[in-house]
Amino acid sequence: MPENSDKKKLTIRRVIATVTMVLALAGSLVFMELFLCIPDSQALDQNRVLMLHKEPANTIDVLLIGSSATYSGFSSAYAYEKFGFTSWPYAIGGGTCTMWKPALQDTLRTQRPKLVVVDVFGGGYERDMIATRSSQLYLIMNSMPLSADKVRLAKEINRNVDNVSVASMVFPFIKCHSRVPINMLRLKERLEVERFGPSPLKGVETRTRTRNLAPVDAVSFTEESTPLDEETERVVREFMEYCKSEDLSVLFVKYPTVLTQQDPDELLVNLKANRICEIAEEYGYPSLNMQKSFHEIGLKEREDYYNHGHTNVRGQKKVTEFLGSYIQNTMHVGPTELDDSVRAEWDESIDYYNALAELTEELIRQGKSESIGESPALASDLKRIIDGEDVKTIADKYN
Amino acid sequence: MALTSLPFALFAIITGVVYFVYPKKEHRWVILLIASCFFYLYNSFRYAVFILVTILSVYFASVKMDDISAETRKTVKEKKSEWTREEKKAFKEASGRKRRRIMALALILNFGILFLLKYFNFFSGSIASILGASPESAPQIRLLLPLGISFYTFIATGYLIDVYRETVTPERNIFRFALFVSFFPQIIQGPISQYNKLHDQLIEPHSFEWTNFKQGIMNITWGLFKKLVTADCAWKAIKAYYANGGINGSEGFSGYGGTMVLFITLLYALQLYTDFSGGIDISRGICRVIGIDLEVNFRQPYFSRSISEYWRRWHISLGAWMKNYVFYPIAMSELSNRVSKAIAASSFGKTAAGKHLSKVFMTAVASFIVFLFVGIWHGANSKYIAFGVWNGLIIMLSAMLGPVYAGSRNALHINEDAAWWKLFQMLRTFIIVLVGYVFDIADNFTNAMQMMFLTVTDQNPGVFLEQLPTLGMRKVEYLAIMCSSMLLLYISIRLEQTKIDTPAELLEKRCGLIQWICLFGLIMIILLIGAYGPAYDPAEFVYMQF
Repeated sequence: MPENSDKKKLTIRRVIATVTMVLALAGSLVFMELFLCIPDSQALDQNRVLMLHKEPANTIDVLLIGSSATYSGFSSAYAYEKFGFTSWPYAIGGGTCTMWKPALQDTLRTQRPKLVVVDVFGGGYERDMIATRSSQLYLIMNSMPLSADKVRLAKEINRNVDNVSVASMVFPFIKCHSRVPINMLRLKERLEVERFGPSPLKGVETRTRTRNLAPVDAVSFTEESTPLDEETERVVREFMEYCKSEDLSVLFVKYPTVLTQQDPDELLVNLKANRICEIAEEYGYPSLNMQKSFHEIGLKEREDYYNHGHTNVRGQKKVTEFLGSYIQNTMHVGPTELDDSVRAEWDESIDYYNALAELTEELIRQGKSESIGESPALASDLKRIIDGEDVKTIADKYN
Repeated sequence: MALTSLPFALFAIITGVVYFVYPKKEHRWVILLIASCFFYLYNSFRYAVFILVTILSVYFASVKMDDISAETRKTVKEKKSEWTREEKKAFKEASGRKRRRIMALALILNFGILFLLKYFNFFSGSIASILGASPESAPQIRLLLPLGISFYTFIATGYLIDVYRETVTPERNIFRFALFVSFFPQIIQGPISQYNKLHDQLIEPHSFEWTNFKQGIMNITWGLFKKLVTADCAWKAIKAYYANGGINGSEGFSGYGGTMVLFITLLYALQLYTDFSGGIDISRGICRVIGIDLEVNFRQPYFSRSISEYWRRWHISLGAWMKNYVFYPIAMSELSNRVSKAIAASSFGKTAAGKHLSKVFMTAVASFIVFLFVGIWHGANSKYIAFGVWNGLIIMLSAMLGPVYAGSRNALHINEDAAWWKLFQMLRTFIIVLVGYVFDIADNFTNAMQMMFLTVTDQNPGVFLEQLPTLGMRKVEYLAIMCSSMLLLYISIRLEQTKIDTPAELLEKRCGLIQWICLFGLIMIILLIGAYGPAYDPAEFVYMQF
C-alpha cells in the first residue's frame, strides 16, 4: 500500500510538472505573440491599429483605409473639429491593396462606420510588391484575437500574398519570432501602449519637415488610366464585392502627391489609381481624385509636403479640410450623436492636434526631422504643451 | 513532412498517443506499421512502388533461403546413415549455391533499382563525356529519388545477407518485416539499423514509461536545437556563398578569397554535423518515447584522433554496414589470402616492410574500396567519389605506413598519452576531415582543388571582413551560431568524459527542477532564434538527399 501511495504521488508530481511546463510555454508564447512581435519601425502603425480597438464600440463614423498617404494626409481630430464627424485612419506604411479587406474586417469587429474611405494608392504598387509585402498584414493579424474569423481571414490572405502561411498569419510569432529578443528592449513602451487609450491622438502621424527642395518639373493631372495586373485587379474587385456584400458605403480617393517628370513610378501609380476609380464606378462606388484638385486644395509643393508623396501637418490640414468637406457635403456624413464621455474625448483630441501642430512647427523651425505619431510618449509631450509648458522645451527633447 | 515541421510533430504525437492507448499490447506494432505506411505514402506516394519491391523481394528471398536451409538440414538428417560424407558435402554445397543465387538475384534487383534511380544519369553522362558527346545527349532517367532509398535499401540488403549467413532467423510475417524496413523515424536519414538490434524492439509491446518519455522529449528538443538554431543559421551563410558564385564570383562580385573559403568550410563542418546528428537525435527521441532504442549514429566525431576513428564515430551505422558487408567479405576473401601469401613469399616479403605489408595490404585495399563506396553512396557526382577516394587513401596509407609513424614517434620521444599530442592528433584529423568537406562544398573536383589552393595561398583577414556582409547574416545570427557552438562543445566534452550517448542521459543525473529549467530554456531558445517560419527558406536535412 505505501508503495502504491508513493507511486501515485510521483505520478501526480509528474503530471503537475508537465502541465506547469506546458502552461509556462503557452503563457510565454502568448505574451511574446501579443507584445514582442512587431518590428520597431512599425510601432506607430501597430499603435494606430491597436488604438482603433480602444475606441468605444460603434463610435467611428468614417473609416479611412490605406497607406502612409492616408495617415499623413488626413487628421481625424482636425476633421472632427471642422465637420463634427468622427473618423480613424486605418493606415499602414506601404499598405498595398491586399490589406484593404483584412483592415476592414478587423475594424468591423468593433465598429460599424457610415462611410469607408479607401486610398487607391495601395492598388498602384507593382505586382511583385503587392504579392510579397506582407508585414502590414502581419501587423493587422497581430491585433486580432484568435477566432474562427481570424483563421478564415488568414486563409484568404494566403491566397493573395506569396510566402505567407496560414499558421504564421494566425500566430504572427511564427514569422516574427526572431524580432522578439530585440523587441524585449522596448517591452516597457509596448506595455504602456496596452495601458494607454482611448487615444486623444486619433491615429495621427506626420514627419516634422518641409520638402523645401528646388522646384521640380511638375506634371499636371491626367485622367488617362493603365490596366492593373490580373492579380491586383482580382484583389481590388474582391474587396469591392465584399463591401457590396456588407452593404457598406465606400469612397475611393487618391491623395494628392507632387508629380514630377523625375518620378515615372509615381506617374504610373496615378494612372493605375485612375483605373481603380473606373472599376469602383462599375460597382457603383464614387471616387475622388484629389490629384485633380491639387491647386484647388491650395497645396504648395515645397511647404506642405515632407516628401513628394506625403503632406506634413500644414498640408494635412488642407487635405483634411478638402476631403472632410467632400465627405460632409457629397457623401452626407454629418456630425454624429456621441455620449458625453466620448464627446469629451473627441473634444480633447482637438487640443492635442493643435499642440501637435505647434510642436511640429517648432521642430521644423529647429530643423529636426522626426516621425511622430500615435504613441503614449507623444501624447504625454502634447499634454505638457496643453498644460502650458513651453513648446521649445519639449522640442529640445527631440534629436 | 519534414522532421522539423508542425505536421510531422502532430503526426508523431498522434502516433505515440494511439500506440499507448491501443488496448491490445501485442498488436501495438501494427500502429507503427500503419504510421510508417502513412508517412511514406504521404511523402513519396508516386515512388512507393520501389520500397514495396524491396520489401517483397527481400522478404521472399530470405524466406526462400531459410526454407532451403531447413530443407537441407532435414534431408541431411534423414539421409545421415545413407549418405557418405562427400555426398552430404555435395548436397550442402548445392543448397548453398541455390541460396547464393537467390541472394544474388535479390541484391542485384535492389542495388539495380538504387543504381538506376540514383547513379544511372551520372554514369550515363560521364560515359557520354568520355566518348566526346555532351552529357545532356546521354540517355537519362527522369525520376526523383524515392524517399530514403539509400537507407532502406541498405537496411533490407543487410538483413538479406544476415539471413544468408544464417546469423539471424528470418521474419516470416511480411507485415512485421515491412515495418522493419519502413519504420518512419529512420526512413528519412537513418540510422541504418541492423535487424538483430531493431526488429524485436519493434514487435514487442511497450508501455508508457516516464523516463523514456522525458529522455525522448529531451532528445527531440536537443535535435531541434542543433538543426534549427545551429545548422540552419550556418546554412544561410553557406547558401549565400553559393548564390554569390563561390570563389569564381557572379555578376558584380569578384569571388571569395581563401579566408572566406576556410570560414565556409568550418561552417559547413558545423552545419553538416548539427544537421545530420540533429535529425538523428529527433528520430532517436521519438523512438525513445515509445520505448525503442535506435542505434547511436554519432559519438563526438570531431574529437577523433585518426580518420579511422572518425569513421567509427560519424554515421556509425553506415560504417558498421560497410564493415560487415563490404570490408570483411573483401579482407577475408580467398583472393586477399592469396595476395597476402604472395607478398609474404616474395623477396620483398622477407624484409620488415614486406612482412608488414603482407599483413595489412589487403585490409588497406579493402578499406579503400569501402570508402570509395561510402563516397558513391553519398551521391552521383565526381566530388563525392573524390571525397571517398580522399578518405580511403588516408586510411590506406595510415595502415600501410603504420610502422613508419610509430618509428617517427619513438624517435621524437613523443608520449602518446600527453594531452598536447592528443590535441594535435585531433586537430590533424579535423583538418583531414575538412579537406574531405571541401569536395562536398565544391561544385566539382576542379573547383575543390581551386578552393584548397586558395585556402593555402590566399589568407587575407582584411578581405574576409570586407566580404563578410555578402553572406547576408545578421549579427544576432552570428551570435546564435557562436553561442550554440560553445554549448555544443561543452556538451560534447561532457559526453566524451562521461561516455554517455545523449545530453538527456547526462541531465538525468541532475535534479528534476534543473532538468525542467534546461528543457524550458532550450525550447525558448529554439522558439526565439530558430530558423523556422516563412521568413526562412527551410533547409532540408542534408542526409535526406542521400
